[in-house]
Amino acid sequence: MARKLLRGTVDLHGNPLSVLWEEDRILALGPEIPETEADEVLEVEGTVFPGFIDPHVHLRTPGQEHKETLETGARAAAHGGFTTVVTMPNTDPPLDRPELLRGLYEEARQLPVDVRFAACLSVGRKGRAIPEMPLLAEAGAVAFTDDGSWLEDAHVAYQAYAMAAALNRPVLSHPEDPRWHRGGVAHQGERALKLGLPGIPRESEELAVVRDLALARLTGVRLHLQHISAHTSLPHIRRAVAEGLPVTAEVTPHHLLFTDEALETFDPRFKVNPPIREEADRDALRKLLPETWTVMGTDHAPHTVFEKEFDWLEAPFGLSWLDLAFSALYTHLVRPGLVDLATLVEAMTLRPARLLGLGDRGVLKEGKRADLVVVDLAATWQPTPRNTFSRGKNNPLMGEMLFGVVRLTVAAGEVAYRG
Amino acid sequence: MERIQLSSPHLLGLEGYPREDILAILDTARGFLKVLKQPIPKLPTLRGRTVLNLFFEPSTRTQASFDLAAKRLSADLVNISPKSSSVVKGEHLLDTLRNVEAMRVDAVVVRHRAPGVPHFLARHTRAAVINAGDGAHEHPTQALLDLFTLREHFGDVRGLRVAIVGDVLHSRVARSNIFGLSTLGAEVILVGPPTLVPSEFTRFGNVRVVHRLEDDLLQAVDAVMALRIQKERLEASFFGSLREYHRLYGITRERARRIRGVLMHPGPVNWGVELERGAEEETTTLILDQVTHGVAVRMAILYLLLPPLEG
Repeated sequence: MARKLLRGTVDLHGNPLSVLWEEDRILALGPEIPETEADEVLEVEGTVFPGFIDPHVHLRTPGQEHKETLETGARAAAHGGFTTVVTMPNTDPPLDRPELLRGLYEEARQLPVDVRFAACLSVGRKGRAIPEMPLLAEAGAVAFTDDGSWLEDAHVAYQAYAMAAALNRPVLSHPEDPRWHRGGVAHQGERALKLGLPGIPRESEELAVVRDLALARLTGVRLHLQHISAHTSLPHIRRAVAEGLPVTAEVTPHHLLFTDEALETFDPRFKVNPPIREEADRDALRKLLPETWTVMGTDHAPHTVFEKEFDWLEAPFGLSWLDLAFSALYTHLVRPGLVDLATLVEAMTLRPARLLGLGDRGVLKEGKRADLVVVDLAATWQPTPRNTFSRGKNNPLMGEMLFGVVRLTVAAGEVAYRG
Repeated sequence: MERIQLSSPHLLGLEGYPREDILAILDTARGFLKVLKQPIPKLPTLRGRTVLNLFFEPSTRTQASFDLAAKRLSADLVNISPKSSSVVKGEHLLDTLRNVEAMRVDAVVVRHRAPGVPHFLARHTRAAVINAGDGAHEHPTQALLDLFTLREHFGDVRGLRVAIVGDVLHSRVARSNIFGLSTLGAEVILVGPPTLVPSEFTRFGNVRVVHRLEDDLLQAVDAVMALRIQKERLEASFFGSLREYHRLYGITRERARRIRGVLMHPGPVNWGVELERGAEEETTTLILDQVTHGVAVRMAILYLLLPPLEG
């Protein structure tokens, strides 16, 4: 059996760290592993981390392959250092039948990283009835979600959450009660008011969070609250965590990096749902990162340039992140000292692994899956439409100089990307 | 006429728009108003220049006003009104832009339902972009003609108190007037139901917000601008009924009699809602002056944004 050795790398404290693996399992880690142990040696300079895990991406398959395919999404993931991604079921058709999931897993076998599928929480994402959840779990659904919308009907949600709890799968909830606004496209605050943009208030999230937490208490489900955007949601989540409920909060790169000041540019690349909000929200989310119940999810939402260049009312919501999320967060949060590197990495590895019940990954340890990424933290790159793999080029950081160049991504022992 | 250089090649909005530029436009418009009263109200100034009216949203008045302004200055004029239904999703902005560029027009007058579209076009074209209304954001030429009308009537805008009554939340006219009036040193009093006049508006200029249209207020202010109330706001639950709105905020004949200053309206009027028919006869009304002044102000804007061609 082929044994591979990664050397020349350091751990996040800067100490030399080599990794030896056989097939898809890590055999040994240490400052110095003799080359004689390996059949193949990968000599790479940089810092080695566990492969990143993204519990929230949109690979648009089936139905919207012009935005992203499993292939382009997986390559973008590998390029960004992600070795496991969970793709959302708001596709066309929605992933609410086990047959669909089986077909997709068949396709996903060829991919350079581990693409997992979440299944719908309600039939057709319509919020009226639950799908065949046990059969979906059997077909490989790692989680249940109606992401893109919230399961409004509390009765249906109760059944769905209870079923997910029994199946030991997390519910990924998009907490936003749409009844709080009429066609909102931006954070409801002073800036949107001045610019004449219909707003989405914080309360639309806060109240959905409160309902979901009540259901988590009732059903015992592992509740993951996606893309938390409002500081007013946080006290409720903290209280639930303190109470011992199995709850996690997702933060996205855009809610950590941008504010609604960007509305002044009218650049639709900043248009996202839930919306980027005010400095107070951004700062509260940054302070949340050290909490172990906080999980980074990018909400990678690729769109074509053509679609995104509509006016602010018509342009679709979302940013494309897989290629550049780590570099962006490292450049704008870790380097200025706002978040420490170990915290960022944990939020992108161990915590999502736990959320998804993937006990075989998320840390560099003997016996774990050989999922790893090597990043040259001192090197810079400039993401452009040409050097990124996602079909979605919709990210306002395109063209900006970012620190942190991914040199190598290894997924299940195989080289998924080498730069 | 002396031609002053404006600080921006476009007119996108009055937020942050320099006082000197506003005054330059108003001064220039005064000259053009005289021209409009001459037997032959036409100048050769912009001969050879081309103005494109790009109206994604239907408009009769503003479009006609720009149309006339361009023609009075002898510019060539093209009108395009792309179909903008929700089914077709509207013409793609980049396509529109390429067409504009290919036509080699000198100025684009754009109206669109979405805030920011003129700003987007301005970033991508060499033509001068004039915002003729972008959603609920701004309508700078309307505010400039309102400022012009106030200035003609009162001599100076500084120190005036202007009440804007109605659906401020959805009004681009209100926003541009808030910015323009504040810049020129006037005080703005916004009046309407709390649902349509949120108190946050006080942060955008020299602004007060009140939710009752008191007789004292009508007597205290120099001008009352009534805004158009769209019937669809009723369906979205912003107030209880048109009857209720009219009762609380409508300029009835009774209320009009109490107006010490002048009555204005950006048009078109929803008679029986924000204005009672006949109210205009009870006080000094500048509504038709606003229309006339609109042409002069738009001539001034075109003139100042487009340098005359030599030879």
